Amino acid sequence: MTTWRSSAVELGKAFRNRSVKVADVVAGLWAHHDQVEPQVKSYLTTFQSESLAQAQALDIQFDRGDALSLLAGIPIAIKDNIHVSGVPTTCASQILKGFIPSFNATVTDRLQAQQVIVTGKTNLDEFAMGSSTENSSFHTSLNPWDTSRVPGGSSGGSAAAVAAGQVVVSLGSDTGGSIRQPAAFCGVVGMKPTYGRVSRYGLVAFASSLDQIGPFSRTVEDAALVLEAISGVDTHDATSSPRRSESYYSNLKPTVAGLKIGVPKELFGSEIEPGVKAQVVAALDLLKANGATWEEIAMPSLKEAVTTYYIIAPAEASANLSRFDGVRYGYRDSEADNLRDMFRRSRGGGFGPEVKRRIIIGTYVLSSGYYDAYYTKAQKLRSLIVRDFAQAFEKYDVIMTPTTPSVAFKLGEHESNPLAMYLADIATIPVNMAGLPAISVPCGLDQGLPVGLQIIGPAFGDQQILNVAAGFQELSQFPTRFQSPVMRSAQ
Amino acid sequence: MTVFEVVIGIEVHAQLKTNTKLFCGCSTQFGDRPNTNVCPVCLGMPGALPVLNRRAVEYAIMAGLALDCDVRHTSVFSRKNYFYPDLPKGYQISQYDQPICLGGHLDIRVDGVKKRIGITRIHMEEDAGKLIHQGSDTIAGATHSHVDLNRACTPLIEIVSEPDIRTAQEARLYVEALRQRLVYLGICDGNMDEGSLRADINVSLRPVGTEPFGTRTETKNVNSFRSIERAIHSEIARQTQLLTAGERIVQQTRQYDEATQTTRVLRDKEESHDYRYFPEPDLYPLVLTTQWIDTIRAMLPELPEAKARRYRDAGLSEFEIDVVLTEPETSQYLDQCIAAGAVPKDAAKWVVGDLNSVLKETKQSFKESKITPAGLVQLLGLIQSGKLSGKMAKEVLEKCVQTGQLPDAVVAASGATQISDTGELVAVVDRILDANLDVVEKVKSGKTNSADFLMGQVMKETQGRAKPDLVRRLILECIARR
Amino acid sequence: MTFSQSDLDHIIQLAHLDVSAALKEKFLPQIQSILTHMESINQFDLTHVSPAATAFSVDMALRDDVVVPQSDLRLVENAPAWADHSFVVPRIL
Repeated sequence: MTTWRSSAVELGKAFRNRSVKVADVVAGLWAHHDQVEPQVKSYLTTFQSESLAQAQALDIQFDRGDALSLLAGIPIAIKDNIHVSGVPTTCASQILKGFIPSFNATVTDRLQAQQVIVTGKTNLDEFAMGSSTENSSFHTSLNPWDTSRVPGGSSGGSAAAVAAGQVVVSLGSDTGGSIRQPAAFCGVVGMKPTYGRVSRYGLVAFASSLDQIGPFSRTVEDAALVLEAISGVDTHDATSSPRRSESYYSNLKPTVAGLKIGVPKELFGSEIEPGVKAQVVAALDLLKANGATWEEIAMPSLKEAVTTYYIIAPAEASANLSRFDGVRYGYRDSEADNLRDMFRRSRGGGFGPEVKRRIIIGTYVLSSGYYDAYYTKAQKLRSLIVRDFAQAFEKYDVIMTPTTPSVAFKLGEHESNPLAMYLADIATIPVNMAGLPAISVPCGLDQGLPVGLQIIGPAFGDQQILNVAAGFQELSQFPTRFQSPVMRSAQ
Repeated sequence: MTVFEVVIGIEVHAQLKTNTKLFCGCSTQFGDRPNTNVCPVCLGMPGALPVLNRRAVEYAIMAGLALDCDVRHTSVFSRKNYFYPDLPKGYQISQYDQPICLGGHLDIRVDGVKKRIGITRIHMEEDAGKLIHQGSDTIAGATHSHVDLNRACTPLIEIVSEPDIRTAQEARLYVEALRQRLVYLGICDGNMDEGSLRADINVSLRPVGTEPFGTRTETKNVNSFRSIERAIHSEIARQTQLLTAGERIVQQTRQYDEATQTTRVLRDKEESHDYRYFPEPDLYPLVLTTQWIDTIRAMLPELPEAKARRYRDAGLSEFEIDVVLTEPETSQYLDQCIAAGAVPKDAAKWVVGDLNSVLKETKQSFKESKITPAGLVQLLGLIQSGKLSGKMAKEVLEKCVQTGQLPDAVVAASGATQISDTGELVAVVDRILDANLDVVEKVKSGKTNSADFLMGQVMKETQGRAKPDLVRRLILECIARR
Repeated sequence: MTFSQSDLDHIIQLAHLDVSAALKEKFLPQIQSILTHMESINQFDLTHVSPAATAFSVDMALRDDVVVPQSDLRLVENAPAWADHSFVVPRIL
């Protein structure tokens, strides 16, 4: 039976043959949401009444037999650093207090053109800086598999909402793993497209050369469907690729046999917890049993990708966050009686500790006397990472790694040691540095918690990794095998 | 006492005459209500991204070609980071270590002698917004300030000269020549009052005959030719006095104050910002193909230097050339006359002289002049054929400029053309000679000056319509026959 | 390279931030350890490697010089202080 638990593809069919009403799905979704949201806390804002009204209007259109898009009526949640015109964008920060964007992000425009139902804005680490949503200035979201654990981050709210069954699909943004890591922690599909494949217009920038918007879903087909809708060149984003976007969903072709898989040994050693590694090996062997081959390869530069990232990302962020100065929007300390004080106190009061720490690091590595020692070197290392990947793709069709070195960690576990938290991104960060597409799919459980398999493709090989992910999905049946307890528990 | 040599380098910021801003589709219109020509991009709204204006790039290329620069196939935009309320993003997008143009030059004429000023580089950048201080005229006394972002993100090119300039006069001539060239290219309106062209002036002194440069000061945003000269004079005097007294020059940024005609310190080097430049990740490097550069080169208009050469060859005086070249529309008018068949020197005489003053009186520009180039050529034809005297022609011209009629029509209406028919004039001349036999005798005895009196009488008789040189010839011929 | 207390204070000033004494005390060793970790980058010979600002380079699309009209920008609602159709900031000096 098709219900709010179904995939977008299934719902689309049911809406069309009128076996299910959009309004019933949306109402069912909100009923479930009301039960589980207190445990998971995925959202910062919800649009319950608007979504119900929109659902009813869509039912009329479906009844009439209007030709609607495959995403029409599909409930989708949007990370709260992506603009939906006329409703607050908070970036989970106090500094955006009261800010309401006057324009849609390009991805929002494209989804609304397809008549999706936007259910709300999801929680994140402040300005997408973090791996747990613990840096949200509003609240921490919780993992639907174990609510004493984090859902991952920074797109933790979007991942948790999909895993908990609060929404069918969602959007996140990924700068160093912010889609793939929470997808792995929450046992759902999360994809970071090739840099430039999806417009960044209307995404509040963290690190402009690394940021990319992508989908969360419970099936690979749904990820393809959403990516198809949001991708393509945008005249508002000079870094968006002029390459023609593909029909990722209609072209989806599960692919395993004959596949040549490389596994970087730098991301397959002692830094990976044994339980996680065991699940990934099992997944690789499953693929092998079905006609693929895999072997370990050396990609030495990957070891230092995290270091490179923690120079480049804060440097770009330090400039991207300069616009939050209390002059035109957002929080202003009204006590300040001169300009310098106003800047200092507004930014001091508006930004949380992690954001401040990264602004300080970023400002330092760009400052006079240190630029060459840090920033230039990091850029050079970035060249090596790009080169290592390019060489690997001469020999292999895809590269696979565990998405994360461990399963979801406990709340507060990394509170006092930011470096340890940063190292949790070792497998996802290199992909952003090289601008490549990558998808994380659930591949097993360790201590009862999901483990993610990361599939990395060459630049603009987005279709290719979706095909491989679909092939793996066919073999492992993960959408039915791995459902979070919060979702399963629902009546 | 040590004699010092002055070393001057100038950075000119020129606003490009595009319809829209450098990175967004907002109008660059000057003088509109505050914060109306703005959008998410130039307001620095979160999530907004810059997209580069193609025409601004083309204009920068034109400037580079016109100044004999090397137009680079790859240039890079960077972020220049600092906090100020008129800078919405907290950084200015500006080209830094890889500008669009490198190494060019501009020739100026100093007292008739050519001097070449080197151009170090030209780079593109966005302008900042405007602050309007409240509660006082100055920033120091203001209680608060208003921020208007209409100007934010307006396209600028910064043209940096080599330290080749030695006097305030040369500095002025350089900026004048640069302005003229940009205006001729049609890429800048050259309006210094509105800040479309502003100069930052670096001045240093060194003992004559020594190599190393002295410590320099930079005087910011000087926005008139007169101020450029005055600011430099004042800065030279200040530095000379300090050095003569054995003191050191402090490297600093200064501001010129027109009221006192002196410069005062804006900030010391120690306070100068750490701008933390790094490549702008929202934009890829700007790549220019050879083909694109060549297309623009082929479209470049004729530049003042080439025009001057052409006018000089056609026999115009240096004074006429200067006047004609001051504004592009004047030389355009002259060129249209020449194209319509006018002798360049004859047309120039009228363009620089009578037409110029008549247009000024009636507050018309050459562009909107009611007498078209074709009309002026017609007027020149009437003079050439002897139908109008110079004096008559001026009257006709005035009428044309007032009414918009063609010279032919004006002449036909008044019926007043010059008498150049010999037979008709001989009769008048004979009548006058008969009436003034005493004067005729004087002329015969060699007092040829007395012929002027006879001429005056003929002109009086013909109400000024007789052609003067013809009258003089006929008088002398008739006297010789008697 | 050591990151000192005065470096921290200087950078905080440069970034126009306000950081409490307690947070500064926490930050200093954290940032020192992060920066020390970053030195591992030096194990690579990077002399002949050119820096990459982006992962790959694309022919950048340029914009036509055509005015785009704007709809409601929510300037007044978003501005912390607004008068005479302008953003208001406190005294600069």
